[in-house]
Amino acid sequence: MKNNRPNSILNKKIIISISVFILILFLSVSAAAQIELEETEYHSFKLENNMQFMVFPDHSIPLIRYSIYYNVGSIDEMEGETGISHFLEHLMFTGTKNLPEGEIDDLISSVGGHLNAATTYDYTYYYHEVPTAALELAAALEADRMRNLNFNNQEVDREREVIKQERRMRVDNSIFSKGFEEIKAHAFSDTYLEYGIIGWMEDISNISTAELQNHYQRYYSPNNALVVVSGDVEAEAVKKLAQKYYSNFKPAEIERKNFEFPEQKTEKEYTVKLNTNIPYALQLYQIPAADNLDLTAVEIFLDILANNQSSRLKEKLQKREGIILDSGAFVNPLRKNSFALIYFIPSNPDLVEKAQQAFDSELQQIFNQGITEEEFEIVKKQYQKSLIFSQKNIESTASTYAVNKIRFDNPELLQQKIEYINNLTKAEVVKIAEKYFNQNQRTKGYILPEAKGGAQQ
Amino acid sequence: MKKTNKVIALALIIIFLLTFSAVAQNQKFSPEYFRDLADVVNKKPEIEIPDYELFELENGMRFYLARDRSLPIFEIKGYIDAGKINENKKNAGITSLMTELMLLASENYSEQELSLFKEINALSLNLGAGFDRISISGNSLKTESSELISLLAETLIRPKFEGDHFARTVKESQQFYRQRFYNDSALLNMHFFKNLYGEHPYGYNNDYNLILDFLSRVKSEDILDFYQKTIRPEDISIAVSGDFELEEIKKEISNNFSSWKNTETEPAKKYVNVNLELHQKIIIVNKPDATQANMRMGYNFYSSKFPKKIPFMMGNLIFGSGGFTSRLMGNLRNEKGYVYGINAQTNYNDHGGAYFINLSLEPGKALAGMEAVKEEIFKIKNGTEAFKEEELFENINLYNAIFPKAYQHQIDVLDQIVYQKEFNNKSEQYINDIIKQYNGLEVEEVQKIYAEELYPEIIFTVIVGPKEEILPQFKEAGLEVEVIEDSAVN
Repeated sequence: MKNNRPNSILNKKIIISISVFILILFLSVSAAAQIELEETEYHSFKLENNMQFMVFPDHSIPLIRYSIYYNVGSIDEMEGETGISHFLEHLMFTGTKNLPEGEIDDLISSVGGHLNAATTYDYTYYYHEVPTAALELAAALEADRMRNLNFNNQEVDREREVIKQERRMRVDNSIFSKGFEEIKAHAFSDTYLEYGIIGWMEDISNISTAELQNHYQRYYSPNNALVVVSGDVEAEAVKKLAQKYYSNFKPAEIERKNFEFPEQKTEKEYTVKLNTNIPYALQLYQIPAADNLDLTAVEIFLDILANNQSSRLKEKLQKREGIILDSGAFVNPLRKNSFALIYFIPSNPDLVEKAQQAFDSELQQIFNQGITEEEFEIVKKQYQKSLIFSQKNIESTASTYAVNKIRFDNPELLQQKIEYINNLTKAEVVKIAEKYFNQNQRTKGYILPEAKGGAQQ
Repeated sequence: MKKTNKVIALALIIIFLLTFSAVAQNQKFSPEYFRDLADVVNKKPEIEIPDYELFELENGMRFYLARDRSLPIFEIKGYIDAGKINENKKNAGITSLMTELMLLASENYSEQELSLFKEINALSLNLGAGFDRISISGNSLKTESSELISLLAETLIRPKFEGDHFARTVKESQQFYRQRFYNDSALLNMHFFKNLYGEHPYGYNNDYNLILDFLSRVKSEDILDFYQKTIRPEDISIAVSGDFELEEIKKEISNNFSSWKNTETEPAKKYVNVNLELHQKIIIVNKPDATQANMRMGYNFYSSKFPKKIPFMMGNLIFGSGGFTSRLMGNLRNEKGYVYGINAQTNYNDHGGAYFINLSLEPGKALAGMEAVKEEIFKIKNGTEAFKEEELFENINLYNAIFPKAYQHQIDVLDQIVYQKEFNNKSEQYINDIIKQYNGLEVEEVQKIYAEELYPEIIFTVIVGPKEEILPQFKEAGLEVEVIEDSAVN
């Protein structure tokens, strides 16, 4: 076959380039350097009411991103009110005592900007991407809706329907999301991780206008907020506007719930049967809060185990044995204890058990024999590359600093992570992985077809 | 002393007044106050065209080279003038399978060696199988630019299709295509586009049954044969941007690609035929376990050569950009609370396009949602609620603000230059020409063109969801509906 192809004949030039190719390949392994991060220029300040500000100037284009982060997310919610943070995020677009419904969108659109928001497990954020000249508009709009949001039953009910449809679309009609929601609920029952960010459908249907108003008054205060402005802006301009629009807002006493997260001592297992052809296997583990530098080692471990193309699971279980179709893993970093998820997709429902055993065996093999220098250097090299590429976009840099600030008041956490990696050994990676990925702390979850048969396998 | 006190007192008064004024501003918020702050008109942007060199090899492969030393990185983006358009009914899906395999192994390197090489050098390289073209994208740090070029050569010139990776990839593809019958969005894509594009490669490529049939009998020789007919150096153009030395990179390119020989086959291509039977047709694909009605409404549209693309685009932004202020969002989300999101889209392909509206909603509201969309279409078509000047201004103002961001990075400008020059015969100033064109539009012109191209009478609708909840609404309204039962794999 090879010789039938006119372009596959190995001429001398190609042989030379192959030699170079191989040489580079092996030289690269031993040439790993220390990871470096070019310092990002930013300014931060705080008002007397403890409202915080960060400014990341970048004058390459005449645009700014004005974001406001509130330190509240789904983990802060009470029983029966799941999804209330996300519900409130929707209402933040419906109007204030000074602006009728729809005006916030209209104003931002009229200057050629756009706005949106997102709710996460532990914070909620809103952003306006607007031309530089609309900086004050964004600051004023956020000040207005931090204090003067309108709560109108009719709008609340209409938005309730929108959110219910959002839930149908994002969770109920997605095999993986629906299965994951149920498995996670079982794994972390009676904790703040039992439910998803969007909340249970029943709670979305029943949350009252008064409860939404209480949630707003409790968490949307200046001392629970961080404004981040990036782009074509100077810190002085933001300082003036901060003083003008937010300095007279009174701080509030924020009473948070008790974040109980009992240590898991025995392995759990849970199966969800859904209308699917391929099965999914999920492994959930407890991890500490995101300022624990162990998480950096955990992320390295997960890349080596499941994410990289040359990872143990992809190389052996997928490519060599053909018993899985894919694998992946991630940590869900939060200001409190959280979870790591490793998943693999068995090639068909009959291979679920075999794939599970093979996964357990691969995990054990790493614990027994460690990781290789090559695996460790690959992850470090990729990390260095991602740091350099992230500098293409000031917004992504600003967001990394902002999240570390809102969660831990530690914007320099990224720098600490880099120093930590530079001093980390591969033996330590394995030791830390063993600490978090042991069977007693695991929940094995399976999403399996409701009924086998037909032309499915 | 007395004078000093006066100064201090005056200073305190000024400070007090300033403070008071700052506080007072907060309490003076009003629509007028905000409107004053929103008096912002963005100037027409001009995108800087990078200083590039066109480097063409004897075999016709073309490289657009432009240095950019802002970061120590190296990026490529490009196109192969081949794609799903080259497929037929018997090999539907072959382009995606071929591109996937091209990235896995080469004649010189096994799958394991190649993936290790990529990861050790932190290289990223992807091929995307489109209808008319295969896109190429890749990047590395500047220190690994040579490795990225070598990898590109291995992928394009010497892919290996036979071996364990072939059998495994086919099996994986079969499983992932079977899974599409369990996903409402994938089912919607299949039933909408396979009908709209009909007996044409664009249509075959959306028919998962055809693809599964092909996957059940494909051999590595079939892929090699397709590769030899479609992947030709003279059909490849690539933008290269980053921190490199021009002469060195030209040498690297020559060393890697100049021995690659041309072929002489020129695959035939044909236009989509419009199927009149689809006009006003409604199909319900029964998915009993779904809790929503996933819907698409649309019709065949112009090819990429449509001359009124820019005014139509501005009209479509007003109508269905998906933003909160668009007409469709205003009615179906902000007023009625039916949807979370709704948008109107155009797909311009070389041999026939599509125009369609996407929405998903509670099954019991499917008919009401469909009617609300048509109502919005008629308001524009009949001119009862014609586009307003401020709606057009808003969208022009938005584009003037976001264009510089879309082309902030040199590789994106260069990529657009390559695409427009090579495949649309446009000048390198194409982006700036577009900016001029939309800035020169009048609302009457946009209204006229958009209304002319809206054809509510030929809308074809596909709804995926639970038949039991959806069908009665349509029956009651006396509408004829074709029902396709649950996702059986034929």
